Amino acid sequence: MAATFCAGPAASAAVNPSSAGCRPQNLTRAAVLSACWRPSRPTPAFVSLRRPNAELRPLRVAAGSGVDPKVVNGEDFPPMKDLIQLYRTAFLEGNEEVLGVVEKAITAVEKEKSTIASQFESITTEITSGKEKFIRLNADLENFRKQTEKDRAKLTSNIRVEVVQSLLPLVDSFEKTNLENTPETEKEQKISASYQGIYKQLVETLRYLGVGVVETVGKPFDPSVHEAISREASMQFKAGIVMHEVRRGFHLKERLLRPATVKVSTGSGKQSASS
Amino acid sequence: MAALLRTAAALVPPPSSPLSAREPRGRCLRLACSRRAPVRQLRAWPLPTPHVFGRSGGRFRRLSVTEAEEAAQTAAQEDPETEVTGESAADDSAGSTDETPSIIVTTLQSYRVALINDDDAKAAEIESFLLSIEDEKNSLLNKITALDVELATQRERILRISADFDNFRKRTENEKLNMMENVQGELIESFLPVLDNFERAKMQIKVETEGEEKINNSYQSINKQFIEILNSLGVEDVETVGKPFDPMLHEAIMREESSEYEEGIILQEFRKGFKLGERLLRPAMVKVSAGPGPENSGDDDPTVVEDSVAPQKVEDVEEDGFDDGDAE
Repeated sequence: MAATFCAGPAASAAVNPSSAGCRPQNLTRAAVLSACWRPSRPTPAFVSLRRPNAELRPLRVAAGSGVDPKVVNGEDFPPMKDLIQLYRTAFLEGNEEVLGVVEKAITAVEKEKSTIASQFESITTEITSGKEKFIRLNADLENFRKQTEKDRAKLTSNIRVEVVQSLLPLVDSFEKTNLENTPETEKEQKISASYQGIYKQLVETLRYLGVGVVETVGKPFDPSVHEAISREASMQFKAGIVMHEVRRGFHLKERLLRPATVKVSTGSGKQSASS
Repeated sequence: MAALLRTAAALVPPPSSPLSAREPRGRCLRLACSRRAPVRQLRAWPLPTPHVFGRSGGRFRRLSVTEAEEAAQTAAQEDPETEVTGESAADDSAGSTDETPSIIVTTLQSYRVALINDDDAKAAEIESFLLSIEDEKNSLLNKITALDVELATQRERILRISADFDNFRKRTENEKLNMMENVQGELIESFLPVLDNFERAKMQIKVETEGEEKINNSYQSINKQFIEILNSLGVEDVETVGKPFDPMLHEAIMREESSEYEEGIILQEFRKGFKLGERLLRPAMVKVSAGPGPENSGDDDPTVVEDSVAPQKVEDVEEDGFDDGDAE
């Protein structure tokens, strides 16, 4: 009983809005009245629904609406709102043909949305990978710049080493010539002094370029800068100390150009005997 | 644009299908609940008595409901056909496309039921869902338009930085070659004054005794060694005496009339010039002839012969003469 009373008001509420808002409902009521007048003949009622002039107009409207989606659909999609309204009207009129067309149109819109969503993801992915590629290229370029600077500095240093190493034999020649020549007369001394001036100029030029001399006599033997050609006993130096420089060694700033050729002390005679 | 999008539609599966597939099912369940209400309404109607005028109005409502039920039955009969059509469509199209027609078909079927039941709330909900599909489509289109602009910008940046990279590489290679010559040249230039002093010493020092000659020769041999080292590094002398004056290689400090050389020909070298490859390390300082040059045809041949035989000796003789003048 309680359920029955609750259903009653709901049913009446449902009927009122539809009857107030839709003309087709009025037509339905007319049909119902007609049926009521002739309850014994239900079939004529259906026939009368199709025959009145009022029914012909809705058919024309439906046909016209049917054409619009087809034409518009070839170029673009009709508004969803119009499709929904058209579907509603066609359904209430029982127009199956239009219903099918509208259904296909709505389905096409949904497919189109899916396609666009895929394209959106595709472009987003491409942009992301593009950004990554740009960052990578930028990093590569930066690394290449730094590497180039290092290579340039190293190349410059290598060239300097190469040129200076080529000129070191001049120093050797001067040293050798100085030892061999012993000026005796005043004129000879003058000639020798002239060439010593040139030698001094050569040494100063090398020094200006960063060339230094490897320390030898009196220093502990260091295999990284010294090259021992003999070991001899010495009363003057302890064992392991450089006692004589055979050929001068040079370094260019931090790099060794040429090791010094030296003789190393084995210590005094007594120590040598004991060892 | 639209054509391309549609072509893509045929190829690309709709990724949003799984999400939208769930909602229609939920709505179907709701619709099933709403279908029971009319039955209860029918049971309620027999209670009033048919003789009163108001009650006769109730009869009209009953007929209206009956009409709705007949329409529903018609729709129910059509539903299986629609589903069969959907299935056949599914067989023809790709698997991932199966759900799309069923989503829309199911939604529209729910819409029909809502219309039959005069369920405006449900109908509005379904209409809202359908409208949201269009809104989402338009929203995505706008986003794609914006992203296309960003994508173009992105590609341009990549092209530009790639070009920068290539240009930098090429420039680096060229600079490396130039730098080698530059560094070498600068270093060698530092040592040229030493060479000058050797040359000056050779010219100025006069030996008289064997002892003096021995000392001088031993040091001059170092000069020869120096010159050989420079040659091995690629250094070349700038040619002077007997050659036409070239401002790219020579530096003229004097012009003098000469019956030995034509006008514009170099007749004496005061300081050596050097070049390293294509690079001029230092121009030669020279004296240029102001003409008129040799007039006696007989003298031409001896001059040529002398030059070809011993050009250095000729220079030495000239230089010695000059120095002798200074000595005196």
